[in-house]
Amino acid sequence: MSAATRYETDGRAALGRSPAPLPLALDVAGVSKRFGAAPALAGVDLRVNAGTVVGLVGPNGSGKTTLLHAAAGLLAFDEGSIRVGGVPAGSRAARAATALVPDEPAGFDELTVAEFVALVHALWGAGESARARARLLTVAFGLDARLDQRLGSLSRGLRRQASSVAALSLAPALVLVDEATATLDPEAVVVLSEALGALAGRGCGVLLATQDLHFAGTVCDEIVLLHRGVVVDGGETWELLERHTADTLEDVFLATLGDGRLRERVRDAFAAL
Amino acid sequence: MPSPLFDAVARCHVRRLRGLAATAPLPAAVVAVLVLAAPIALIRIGRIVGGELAAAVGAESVQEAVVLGPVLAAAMAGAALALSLPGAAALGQQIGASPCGRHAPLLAGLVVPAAVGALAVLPSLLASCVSLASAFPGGPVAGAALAVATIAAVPAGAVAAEGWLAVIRGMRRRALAILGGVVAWAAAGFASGSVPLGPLAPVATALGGTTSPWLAFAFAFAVSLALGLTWVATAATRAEPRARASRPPRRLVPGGHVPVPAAVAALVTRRSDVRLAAVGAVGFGIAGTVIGSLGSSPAPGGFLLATTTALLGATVCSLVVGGALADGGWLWDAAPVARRLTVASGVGVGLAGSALPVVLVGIGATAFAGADWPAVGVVAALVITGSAAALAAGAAVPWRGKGVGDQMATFAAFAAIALAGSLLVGLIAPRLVALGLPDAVVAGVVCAAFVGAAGFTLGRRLGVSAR
Repeated sequence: MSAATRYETDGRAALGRSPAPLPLALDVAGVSKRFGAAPALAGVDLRVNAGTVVGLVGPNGSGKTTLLHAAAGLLAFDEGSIRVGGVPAGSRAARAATALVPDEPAGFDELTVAEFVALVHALWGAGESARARARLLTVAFGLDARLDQRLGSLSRGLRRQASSVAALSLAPALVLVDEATATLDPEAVVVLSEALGALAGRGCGVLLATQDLHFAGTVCDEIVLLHRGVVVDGGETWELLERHTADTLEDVFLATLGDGRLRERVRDAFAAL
Repeated sequence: MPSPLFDAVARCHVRRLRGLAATAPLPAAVVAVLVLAAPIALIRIGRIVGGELAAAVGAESVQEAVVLGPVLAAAMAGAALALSLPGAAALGQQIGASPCGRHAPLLAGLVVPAAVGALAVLPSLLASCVSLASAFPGGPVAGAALAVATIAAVPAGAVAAEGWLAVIRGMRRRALAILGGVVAWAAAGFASGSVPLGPLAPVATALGGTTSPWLAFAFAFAVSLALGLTWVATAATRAEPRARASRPPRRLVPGGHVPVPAAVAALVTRRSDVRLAAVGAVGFGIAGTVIGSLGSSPAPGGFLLATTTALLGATVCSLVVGGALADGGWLWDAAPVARRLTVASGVGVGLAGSALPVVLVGIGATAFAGADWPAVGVVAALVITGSAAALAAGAAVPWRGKGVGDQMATFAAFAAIALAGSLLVGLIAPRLVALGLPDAVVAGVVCAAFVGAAGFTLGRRLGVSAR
């Protein structure tokens, strides 16, 4: 049986097996964070129910990564509260219930892919089921041939895949994915979307930040639009399309967060080039 | 059972060192041989210096000066270490979000490279201190106490730096607690005869034979242990840096092109670790000036104490150059600019950046403690050779912001290179002087050799030979 076939027959089933009822995965209430005079988050309210995938969409600098880092306990916020599975974000219990796939996986350049995944498992106290999930994800991402390669020798995309294998295989109550599809090849994007769906199917809450509106529309149960640190809109994809009488999420994005006539305006301006 | 994080960090460091040795086997072998040989040479040097000081060591001011010199330098090194310690952020965001507690990342990033650095420095420190004190009434045990006191000063300087960080990050209680510790330190020193040495004062009197050397050793050991634990506890619970109101940095040039030297200068001098270390160097240099002025040692003792103390902190600027330039390698590689210009800019920025705090401290020390031209010449040579050694260390083991304990590894490389360089100069320079060359010319040759070696190492890091 080929690796790919093995994944297709076993993978989804293993990742999606025995969904357990979980409390609210993430509860963000009135969170504000300033960097000097600049507000990064201003009274953000957001909830991620167990078993759902929520997409955080917004322009660069809108506060998506700040929010993810605050939820992961990497960043202290000024006001409000963030609870992961009912406990304050940043506490040991909350950290144990959270896995983060960062935008820029860094550090431990000298470890191999296998060693890095093993380190993550050891730190989170993961068991045999996590190791089984890691094997499936490794095969699915096509990383099985690179298990003995050092992280420092991998491209950014491959490194993100290794990071995804380590984080997603934990299958914790909350999965945070920053810039979900950045630098990933189309096959890896497919694997990621299926993996996130399977994790949600087993009761994990997923919050992902992305600029890839097609990916968000395909994978996410709900989408939250963030602009200058404020939640400006949100809901299921069909709700957003209906509310804005739009055909695509790109139209919703431009109408809500940007310039609806951007394409025409820029095209006219660039004519001078 | 070691923690998985500790194991992973150790594995990374071992592989990194192995990679460095494989990339440049000859320089690595030379440094290793010199580091291994250094204790033997230092035993001889210690005996000679000890013999010359033996007659004067009965005086309390001499006892204090013998301890204060290495202790203040070690405190400065500890402060620089603390200010440049990246903490859990260096684990990367993914591991930084793990439920491993606050102490584990710090210890993992600290212990392994510290052990490597200790392997390079401790035998030499112990050899020089024990052989120096062998000629004193206190004997070798007092020398061992001096070595332990020097080690204790590293966390002492680090705790002082944590106090300063607490002030600027708004942790008032912690700042007050550390200030209380400083007062207690001074009170302990006042009671035992030396305010600046605090509870380490018995080490000074043990050298003169008026205090039991074993008692001094026990005191120094207990102080080092207590300070080490205090530092780990404070460093692991630091507040995040305060976000400042964003102020646009000063423009490099009014408009148009940014010259490479200006870009390199901005890259290095806009770093918070370099700025903090420079301020720390000036602070410790001022402390050295005050201690030198209050003490009874004649000029230029205070000047030398102040400037050499400041130099250790100031070298951080040179240490970061290699990593900063290597991080921007994609730009230097792609740009149609001669890489020799980038290397020369890096060397120039490193030397100037390291010299500036020392010059500031030197001006103040000259005004308050007095100095003469030979002393200024000695310090100038130390600044150039020290900065060059730091540049070479930072190029050989780049100061990266993304790996846990990387800064410590660069410090360890600096210690090894500085030790090996000192030994080499100690072997060659006296022979050149014996051949009739003037001291100034020999110093110039040594400085030029150090700067050349730094430029060569930096060039290798940036692949100058490829263009």
